[in-house]
Amino acid sequence: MLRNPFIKSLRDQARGLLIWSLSIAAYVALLIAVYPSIAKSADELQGYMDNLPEAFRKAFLGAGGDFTSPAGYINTELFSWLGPIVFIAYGIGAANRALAGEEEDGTLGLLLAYPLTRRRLVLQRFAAMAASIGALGTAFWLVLVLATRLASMDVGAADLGQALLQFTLLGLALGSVTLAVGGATGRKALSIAAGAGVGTGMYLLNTLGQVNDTIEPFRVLSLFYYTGGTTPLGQGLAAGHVAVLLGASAALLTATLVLFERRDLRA
Amino acid sequence: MTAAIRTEGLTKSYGRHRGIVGLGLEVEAGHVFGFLGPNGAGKTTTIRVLLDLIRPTSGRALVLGLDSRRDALAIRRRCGYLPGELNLYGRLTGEETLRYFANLRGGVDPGHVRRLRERLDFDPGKKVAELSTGNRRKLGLIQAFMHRPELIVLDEPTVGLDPLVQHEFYHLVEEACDAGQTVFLSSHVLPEVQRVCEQVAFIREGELVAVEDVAELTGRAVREIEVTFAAPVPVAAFAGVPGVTALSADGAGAGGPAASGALSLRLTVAGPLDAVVKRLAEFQVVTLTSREPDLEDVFLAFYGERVGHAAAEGAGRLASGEAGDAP
Repeated sequence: MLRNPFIKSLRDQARGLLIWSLSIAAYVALLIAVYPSIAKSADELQGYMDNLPEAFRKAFLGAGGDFTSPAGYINTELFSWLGPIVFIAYGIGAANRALAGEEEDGTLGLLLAYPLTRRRLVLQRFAAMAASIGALGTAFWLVLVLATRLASMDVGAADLGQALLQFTLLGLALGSVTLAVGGATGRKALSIAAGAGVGTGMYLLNTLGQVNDTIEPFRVLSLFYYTGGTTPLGQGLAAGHVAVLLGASAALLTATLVLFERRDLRA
Repeated sequence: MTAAIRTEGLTKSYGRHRGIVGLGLEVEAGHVFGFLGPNGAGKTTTIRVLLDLIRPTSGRALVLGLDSRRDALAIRRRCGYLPGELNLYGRLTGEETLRYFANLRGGVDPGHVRRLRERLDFDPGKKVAELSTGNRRKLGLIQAFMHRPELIVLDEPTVGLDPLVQHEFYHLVEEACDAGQTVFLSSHVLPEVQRVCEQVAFIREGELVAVEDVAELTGRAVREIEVTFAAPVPVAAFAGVPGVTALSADGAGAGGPAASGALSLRLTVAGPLDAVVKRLAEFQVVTLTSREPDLEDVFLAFYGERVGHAAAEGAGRLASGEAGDAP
């Protein structure tokens, strides 16, 4: 169970992963449980939504703000903002523990006095972060597939999988921001702030771009643009979008390797 | 035979903090080498450069004949290290910690680990977070020794250890030395270094002050003596006594000890105590305590002329016989 830093990281994260998964399951269960009553009054709700200002609707309820179909319901209630936030928060947390956390805890100096190159440590920690975000995505997916089946909602498992894969990759990319800043500075607070700040900024950019024509062209700079925006479910998976998300993570991993390698460790 | 450690003009500058300056050090393989200096003198900085945790500003370090930058991995494979500020994984037990560290080295002899555990009387079942400082240090020592490395680098190894365990630790160091291993240990207390080391390097404010054989050093022991008298004594009576390198006094009345005489004296004495004892015998002594002086005084006594401004301060203290604590 303690073969190397990769395995140890997974072990360290197991409990957190379980708690996150259970929380997601509880939330999804609640959401699906109330769906039948929502569906019954779908027309009234839809009328109410249609009366909301368009900008507000687009920004906060998803482009459709659609309650009439199961997919629309999940998009609006789960995927328009809560889904991405779960993965981003989890990714940033995992990335933070990977380098800066260990450095601020003061255990990194001893660890790197062992026959382990910094490069190897970064790669193992990145792999552990990716694996654990992936595990969260899988858990989320299983919960949703099960819940929608039980509630006889007509949502495809593959569609859910595609949407969650995008979120997983988004979480990995923003986690990689935290990893890079943590590797470059060894400071926890700074690396968390970087991941969260970039995430918030990109979210705003993408969301405001949907309602403002001046900002619209800059949406491509936001990673959220590549996760299906506010209606990820049913959009399918664009290979180009996946490539952008993966490419961002790869670039940030490379930066982490370079920056961490040349630095004096703090402790 | 290649030196276990060899540094050439090793310099590490930090922005505001003092680092190390032009350190040239040579540690012979198979010996126990002490690295002595006050806190903040640059001991930890030097050690961290040797292990490539930080990089020198200039100069270079060879460890086991290998370059500290280029061959860092090979060096770490052959070294054991106990950090001065030891932090371990609180959620792992001692047992799990040792297993993790052993795995990072590709496995170590479990029999040897068990022996070390027994000798230091370490209970591996508890979570590290629940261990006392002393027990955590034991765990740190075990991991530093467990793979029988050629070079063992220990940063302030006995801090937090109780005397019994300290004693066992000294044995471990001696045995390692007998087995041909090199031990490089830093300390800020002279007696410890005298107890285990064959050679000692003195470092102060980032600079190497001297390298000495411990056997020679012991003949020049420095002690601090505190005496209280039944009646005030003239301070000047002790200023010229052979061996006295620093002197301070607490006065009895107005005008300070210089005017009214001293009721108590603190003397730093280098070498034989004979002359001081004979002078003291001329007065009525109430109490007398002798202890190891702090390192700064040792430096003054040994290398007064080499340690710059502090030496000037010391000379001042001696000349005026002033009393810092006088009202």
